[in-house]
Amino acid sequence: MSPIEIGVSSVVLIVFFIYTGLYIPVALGLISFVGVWIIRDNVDIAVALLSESVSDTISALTFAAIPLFALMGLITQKAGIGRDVYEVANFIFYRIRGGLGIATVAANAIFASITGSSIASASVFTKVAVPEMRRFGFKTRFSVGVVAGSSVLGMLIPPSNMLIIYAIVTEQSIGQMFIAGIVPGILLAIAYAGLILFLAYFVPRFVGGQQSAGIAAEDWASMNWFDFSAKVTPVIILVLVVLGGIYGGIVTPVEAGALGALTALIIAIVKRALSLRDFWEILVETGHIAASILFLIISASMYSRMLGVAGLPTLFGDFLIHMELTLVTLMVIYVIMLILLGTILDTSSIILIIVPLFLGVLDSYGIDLVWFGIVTVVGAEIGLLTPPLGISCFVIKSTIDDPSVSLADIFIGALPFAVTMLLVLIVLIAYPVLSLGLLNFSFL
Amino acid sequence: TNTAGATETIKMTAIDGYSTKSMWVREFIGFFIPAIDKKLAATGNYKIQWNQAFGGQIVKVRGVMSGLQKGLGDIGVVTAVFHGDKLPLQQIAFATPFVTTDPGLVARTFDGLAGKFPAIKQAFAKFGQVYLTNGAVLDSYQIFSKKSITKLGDFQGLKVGSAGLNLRWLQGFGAAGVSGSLVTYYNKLKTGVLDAIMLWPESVAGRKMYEVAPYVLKANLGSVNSKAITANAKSWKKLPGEVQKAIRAAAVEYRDRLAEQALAKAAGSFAKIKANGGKIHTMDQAGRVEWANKMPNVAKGWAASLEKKGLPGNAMLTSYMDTMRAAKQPIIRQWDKE
Amino acid sequence: MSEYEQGALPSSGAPKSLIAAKLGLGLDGLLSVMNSIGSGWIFLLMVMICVDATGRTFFAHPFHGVNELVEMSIVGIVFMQLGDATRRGRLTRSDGFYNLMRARAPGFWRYQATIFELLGITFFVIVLTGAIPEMIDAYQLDYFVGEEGLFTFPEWPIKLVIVLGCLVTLLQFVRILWRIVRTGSAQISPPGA
Ligand code: NA
Ligand code: NA
Repeated sequence: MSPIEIGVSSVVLIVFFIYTGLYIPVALGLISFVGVWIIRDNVDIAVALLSESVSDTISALTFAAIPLFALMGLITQKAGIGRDVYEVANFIFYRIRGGLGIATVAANAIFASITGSSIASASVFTKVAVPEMRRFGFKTRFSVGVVAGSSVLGMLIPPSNMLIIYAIVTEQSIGQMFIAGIVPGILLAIAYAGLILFLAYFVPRFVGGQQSAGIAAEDWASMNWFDFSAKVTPVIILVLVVLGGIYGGIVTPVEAGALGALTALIIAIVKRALSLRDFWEILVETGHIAASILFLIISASMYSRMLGVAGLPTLFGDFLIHMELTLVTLMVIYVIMLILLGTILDTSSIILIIVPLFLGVLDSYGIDLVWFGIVTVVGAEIGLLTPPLGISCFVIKSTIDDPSVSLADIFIGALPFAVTMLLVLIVLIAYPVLSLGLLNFSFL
Repeated sequence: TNTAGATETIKMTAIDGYSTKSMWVREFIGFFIPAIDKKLAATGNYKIQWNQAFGGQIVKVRGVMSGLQKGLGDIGVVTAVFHGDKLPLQQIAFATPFVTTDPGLVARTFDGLAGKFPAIKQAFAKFGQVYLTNGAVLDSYQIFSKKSITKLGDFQGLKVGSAGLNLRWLQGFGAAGVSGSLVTYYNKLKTGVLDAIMLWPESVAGRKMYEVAPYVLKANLGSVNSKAITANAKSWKKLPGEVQKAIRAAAVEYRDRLAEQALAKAAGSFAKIKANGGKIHTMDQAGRVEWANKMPNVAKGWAASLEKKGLPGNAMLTSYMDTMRAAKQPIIRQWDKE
Repeated sequence: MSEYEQGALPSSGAPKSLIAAKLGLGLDGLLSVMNSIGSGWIFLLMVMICVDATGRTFFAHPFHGVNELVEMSIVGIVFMQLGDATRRGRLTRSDGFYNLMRARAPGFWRYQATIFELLGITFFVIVLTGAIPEMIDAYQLDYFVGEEGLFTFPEWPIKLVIVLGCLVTLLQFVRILWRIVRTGSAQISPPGA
């Protein structure tokens, strides 16, 4: 079999097995194993590929950010900080049509600045926002769709595990990647708010929801300034610790994760919102998140290493150079690949697999790697919302604990948000200044 | 084997965890591979079809060693400094600072040792590899810092990043050595995880680290051979003699080319650092002598630990220093004669 | 996916085989112990990084080897938790078609599930084939991380955790397979249900 045949058939097999429900790490690992066995005609090398990936992939300092930001997210969730942010956002936005949806987006954008993963965002707001929105008559599909869509902000607005992974792969500065993510993150949040307004006015049957008159009776709708500041102070403290720590040049992103988790723990204890038993459950949950995500990263690494053994990245680079594509064509191809891979792989796997393929040709186009990173992360995160593998949707499904909400409902609800992401991505590609503008300010 | 005059195509996979951002990978692609291809083209009997898997496509930076051992790649650049446990012999230049700033001499001398002391090649053979040559990719280690460092006392309480055994060059001066990878230093300096780094000018200028560590202490600590070019033993055995010969010859040319490039880049890199606001302080000879004499005798410790494992540490050290003395290097401390 | 779907915890029904039940309890115990170690390890990781980060501000002399310990901790945490994560149905899968078959075509689903569990077992057998010799090498040849004379830590304990983690995950797959073959379902009622 030629490398290209191996590449194509491996993709077909992976799609088949993931669709039919084989454990994804098992599918990626076994297909990589068989692939290398065929290419090298040597079973020992194929075994070595798997064991090398297992021992060598995640033993890097930066991966510690994943459990740490997950831990911080879970503690803030338990401490009710997510709920507080959401109530404040509700208080501000409930008068608007679809206001609880916009509030979810706004709360997610704020929460995103204290968490590094979309998983934390998705699980917090599934518990906080979905019941609230359903209570006020919003359609289930819309409610979970808003949560899924806006959870993506968690990985775009810094701190962000995906920007960290991209920075590792391309040897860029994590701090610069974070700064570059700020404006695109805010832009995406605004686009989501616009989408919700549009849907609320033009497709009300999809959105549902009561008008503000029915909501005004809620406690949070008549929030006083004391309540307001009591609810936002913990967030401000956490943002100061995490983002202030990173941009103040005091701590690394990983350390910001650890300090953020500790600060959240202290806040939770002060708020008397956390028993010892709760905390233990949170640690166990963090462990499960770390195990499932990092093991997925390990198996994705097996697959990308197999492609490397097949020589596909080199062939692909040569192919692109010989095609003499224009920058626009190149980016179109790139985005299409991101989206296709996004249907079956998680964001970090996509970055790990596809970025090395393109890295070789970027220089000849004079492409800025920071900008390319933002494009990559936004493009790959569209996949968080697309079936069959959409991590954000999975997290919602496993958190919501309601058999009447199917995975399909969540994917359908998230679809308009995925489309909006694509439009924002096109804008980000057309105007690199949106990603790179802030980098020119020396105070950062 | 080639009576019909047809060209036989051989597949080879070259690996390194580092990307083309690194000088030795650029030269691997732009110099080493073409040099092999050219030699083979001269007779036309064989042609290598290369799979160039750099930048972590198959292995990460610390995984080249096991990747070549297990056959994930056929040939590659092992960063030996990461493997103090598996390749202690390769650390000799790291154990002997203030001896030379000539990377070409270091690399040639080590190849000389590899010819003289079978233990060096045996170490690689134990890990399923054939040693081809080594590579010195830096002219000399220097100190790059956030705050001005001009004397040894300035190291008190600082966290200094570097890769390996050279962290011991700071022992006794109140600094803490933090081992880490080149690619993480910028951020670590910026955030204060590190106060200084021990690196060479080309890598600092290339990664714009002068932005976060503008002060340079030019102390000319010494050049080292941090790389080993090796091949997977099974793949190597299958190669025809002519191909083996071509690769070996090209490897030596590649070794010398790396040293040449390391020197050539150094001057320009200092200029770039200076042009971007860097402040270079050249340490005077008295300061260097004080430094060399106050640090522990890392070389003796290194040799003793090898002797304990039944390896010829002392003889290697003497041989290395003898070569340096014969080459009239400005040696500050005679590490082998204490 | 419910917490108890993947064959977690002892069945509320009377066990058909006492030996199998005892083996199952033993595995559950092991998974729970490893899970507890992994969970505690996360807390230690957080504390370790916080102490290091604040320590360098307040003490003149920072700590050696934190980088190496953090790197090993991540691997340790993942493989301590992998078995329990699998037991709790947290190993990533796209379950739309799978659950549809389970509900609508249980006969077909039984074959499908059997094949998938066998593939999972195969995968972990392959990983272990590579990982066990690596662990033995690391132990016998004294591999370490860090630099001699500064800070070193042996590599074998973390290799042992990798092997243990893969082994219990493999056993968990075997148990699910056993349940599918014996009872035609991987579904277990949660305790008290
Ligand atoms: Na974030
Ligand atoms: Na997807």
